[in-house]
Amino acid sequence: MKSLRARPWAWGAAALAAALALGLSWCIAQSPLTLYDGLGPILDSRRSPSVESTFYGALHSDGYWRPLRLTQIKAVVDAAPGDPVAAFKAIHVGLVFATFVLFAVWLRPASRAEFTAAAIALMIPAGHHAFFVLLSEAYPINHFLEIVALTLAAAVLARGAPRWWKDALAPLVVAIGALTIESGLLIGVAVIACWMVGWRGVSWRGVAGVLAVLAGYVWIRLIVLEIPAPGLDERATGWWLARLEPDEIVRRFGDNPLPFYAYNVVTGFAGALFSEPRSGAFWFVGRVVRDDVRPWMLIQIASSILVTAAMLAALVPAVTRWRRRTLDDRDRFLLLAFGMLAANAALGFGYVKDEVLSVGVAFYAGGAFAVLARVGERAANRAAGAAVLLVCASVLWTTRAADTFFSLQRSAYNVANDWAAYSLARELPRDWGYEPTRRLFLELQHRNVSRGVPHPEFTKQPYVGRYLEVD
Amino acid sequence: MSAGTSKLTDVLLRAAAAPPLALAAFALLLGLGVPPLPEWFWPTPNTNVAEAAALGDAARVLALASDGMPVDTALPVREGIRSSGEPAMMTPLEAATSRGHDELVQLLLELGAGPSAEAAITVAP
Repeated sequence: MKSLRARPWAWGAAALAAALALGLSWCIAQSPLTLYDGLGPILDSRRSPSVESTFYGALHSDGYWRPLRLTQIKAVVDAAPGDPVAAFKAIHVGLVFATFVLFAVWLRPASRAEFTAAAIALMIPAGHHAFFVLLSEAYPINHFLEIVALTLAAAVLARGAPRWWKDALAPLVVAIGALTIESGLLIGVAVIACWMVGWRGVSWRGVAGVLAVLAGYVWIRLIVLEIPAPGLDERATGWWLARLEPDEIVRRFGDNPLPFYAYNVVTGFAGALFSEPRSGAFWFVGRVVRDDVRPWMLIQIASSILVTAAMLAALVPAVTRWRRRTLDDRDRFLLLAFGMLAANAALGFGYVKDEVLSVGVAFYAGGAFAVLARVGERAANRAAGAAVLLVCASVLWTTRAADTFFSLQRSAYNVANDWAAYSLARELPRDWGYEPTRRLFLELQHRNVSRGVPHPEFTKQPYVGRYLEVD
Repeated sequence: MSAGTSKLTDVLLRAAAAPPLALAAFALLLGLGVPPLPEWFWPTPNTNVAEAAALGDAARVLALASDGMPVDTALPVREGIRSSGEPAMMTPLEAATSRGHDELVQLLLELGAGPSAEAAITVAP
C-alpha cells in the first residue's frame, strides 16, 4: 500500500496494461492455435523420443540456428500430452501479460502527464501492425513475443539499481533468447544500449558477460557449426510495389545481394516508424495508385507520422545532450528507440517481415512515451497546440489498438476454417500413417474447430472494416 | 493566455487520457467474461449445418458434425443468409454447392453427406 501511495501513476499504468492484456488474452483463448507453422512442430515433438534428442537434433540446421525453439515446444507437448492446446494458450496468454506489464513497469510514469503518455504508448504495442501477428498467432509458441518480453525484462533490469544478480541474469537471458530465434540477439543489444545511455542496472560486469555470450554465439554458429545466415531463396519479401518470390529474388540479386539487403534494412526501419512500407512493399502507395484508399489506412499512416515526427523533432536535442553527458531518462528512452529500431532492422537484412521488427517497435513505443510526456507537460503549461497533438495521438493510436480486438476475431475465423479444411492424409501422409501423430492431429483439429468462432457475417464487419483493418 | 484557452487546454489534456482508458475498460470487461457490444464483437454462433455451409463456415460445419448433427438432412436457412431464389430448406451439400464453396463440398462428402440428385449433378466432375 505504501508503494501504491508513493507511485500511484506507475501502478495506474501497470493496471491499464494488465486490463489490456486481459482483454487480448480473452480473444487469444477463444482463438484456435495457428495451423500453418504450428502443427508441424507439434507433430515433430510427438515423434521425437525426448527433450534432449529434440535439442541435439535442432543443433544442426540450414540457415537457422534455433535449438531451444523446438525444445521448448517438445517440453510443453510432453508436459501436457492430453491437451497441448490449453498449455500453448496458457503460454501465449502469459507472454502477453508479461509483455504489457513489463512495458508499463519499464516506463514507470511519475506524473499525470507521464501517465497520459504511458497510456497512449501502451496503445502502440496493442495496435502497431508489427505486433499483430504476435497476438494472433502461436506457432505454437510465439517466439517473437517471447523475445519482446525478455528484451523488456532486460530493459527493466537495466533501468533499476545495480545488483550482482542482474549481472548474472542478463547473459543467461541473452543466451536463452539467442538460442531460441535470431531476434534473441537483440536482448544483448538492448542490455549494451541501456548501459551506453546511462542505465547501469546491469553493470559493466553484466555487459561484459553479454558481450562474451554474443561472441560465443557468433563463434559457435559461424565457425564451429558453419551455419550461415539464410540465403536469398529462403522467403518471399516486398520490393517497392510488388512482392518477390524466392526464385525471383535469386534471379535479380544472386550476383550482388547488397542492394537487396540495403533495401530490406531501410524499408524495415521506415515501416516501423511510418507504417509504410509494410513487409517491404509500399502497400499504401499501391492503394493510392489504384484509387482504393480506405479510412483505416489513413488512420494508420497518420498515427505513425504524428508520433514519429514528434520523436524526430526531439532527437537532435537528445543527441546533443548525450554528447554533453547531460541526458535525462526521456532522452534515454528516445535514443534507445531509434538505436534498437536500427539494430532490429539491420538484423532483418535477409527479408522484411513485420513481426521481426516487434522488438524495435516495443522500444519505439518507449520513445513515444518520452516524447508524449514532454508534450503533455507543455500542454499542462497551457500550450494548446501540444494538447491537440496529444489528443490526436491518443485517438488515432487507440483506434488502432481497438482494431486489434476485431482483427483477432477475423483471424480466429480464418484459422478455424484452415483447421476444418486441412487434410493430414493429403498434406503430411507420414504423420497420417503414424498412429500417435494421427490421433494427436484429430484431437487438435476437434479442439480448434469447436471454439465457437463467429462468422464475419455476424460481426458487423462491413461497418467495422471501413475504419479498422479487419480484412 | 486567456482563462478560456486555459480551460480548453485542461479539457484537452483529460481528453487525451480518455480513449486508452475507455479501451482498457472494454478489455477488462471482455477479460472478465462480460463482452461489451456482443452484437458486434464475438457473438455466439447459432447457425445450423446448412446455414454454416451456405456461409462457407467449414469450422462450424465440422464442429456440428462432430457433435452428432446430421449432415445430409434438409434444414431451414434463415432469410439474410440465403440469397434470393434459394429455397428455404436446403441440405448442407446443396447450400455449399449453390455458393461454390468447393472445399466445403469436399469436407461434407468426407463427413458422409449424400448428394441429392440435383446436387450430384453439380458436384460431379
